[in-house]
Amino acid sequence: MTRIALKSSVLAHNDAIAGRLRARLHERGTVCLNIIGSPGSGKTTLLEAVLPQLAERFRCGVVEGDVATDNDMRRIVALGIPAVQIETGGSCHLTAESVERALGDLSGGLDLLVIENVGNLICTVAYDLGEDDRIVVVSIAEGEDKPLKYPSAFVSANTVAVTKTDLEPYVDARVEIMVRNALSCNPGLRIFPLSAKTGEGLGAFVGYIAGKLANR
Amino acid sequence: MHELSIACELVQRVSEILEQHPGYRAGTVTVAVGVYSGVNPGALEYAFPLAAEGTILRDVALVTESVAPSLDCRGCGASHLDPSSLTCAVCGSTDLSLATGREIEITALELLDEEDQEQGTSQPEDCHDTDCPEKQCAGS
Repeated sequence: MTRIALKSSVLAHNDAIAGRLRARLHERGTVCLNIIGSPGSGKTTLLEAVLPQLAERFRCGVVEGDVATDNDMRRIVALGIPAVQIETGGSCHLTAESVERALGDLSGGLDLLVIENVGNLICTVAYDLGEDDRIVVVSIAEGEDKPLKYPSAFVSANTVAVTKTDLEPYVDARVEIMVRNALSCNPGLRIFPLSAKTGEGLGAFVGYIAGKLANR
Repeated sequence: MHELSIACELVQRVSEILEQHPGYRAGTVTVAVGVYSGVNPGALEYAFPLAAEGTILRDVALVTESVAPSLDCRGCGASHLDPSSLTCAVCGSTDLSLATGREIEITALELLDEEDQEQGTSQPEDCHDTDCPEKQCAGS
């Protein structure tokens, strides 16, 4: 019997496709965002608020991931922004392979590609989708300790959007404490408290993405 | 619950490694699972036999090893710092990156040749090695 020592990623296949995808997008000058968050955290609503502003200056496209329905894709297309839907049929996360397959020619002339992952704060974490920036969307209504309960998502991300801040007066959770909790998981996070409903804080978030696009 | 997907990937990876070692089959495979990987080791151990069923890995045992988080300092390069402190103990910088804790990695694989297979060396009856990495036969 021989015992061999290895250092081989179990997700090597996904990582290889993600690497290929990232290289292809960079070649075309496309910035790619991977949006993760719980179901109902406001991921699609945030995109509806942000993308029309960005689309005035940049060519945007969206890959929507859901277990079932193409509802989210239709919401994005209704804004005049191209979108494709991945219906996973039960799977709790997108893979680089599923994104590459869904992309087809969507990424052709895009400045910004947004991948809205399946609503899930655990299973989405392990899968690199070729993104430049991973953004966790978490609503204040989910509770200020959400980052402490699901640290893997916040550790793996670069950016956090704390959504539904307009609900703060009605829930037992403080935005300031949620921000502090997120930073305790990952001090390098950029955090944007905002409300898609009232528009509060949206400007800074749009500015952040526009800055990434300007500095390509 | 994405551990079945991870288990299916694991079966693929181990099968590919075996292809590079003709004449051998796999004994025990060891996988390091970072505590921030988003993978539950128990669920992975549960899912692995289901993923391996009907493949050349059907009799393979999976051992998982949890990997604690550790930090590297981007400022001074100090490595493997205590993750409970968000400040570098060497230079005081707060610009830290996670060095370990996110991996899902095959770290060891037992290769069994024909002789092993006849003797069933995977779980040897006469093993008295108390440091046996598989623990299954320690002291037996």
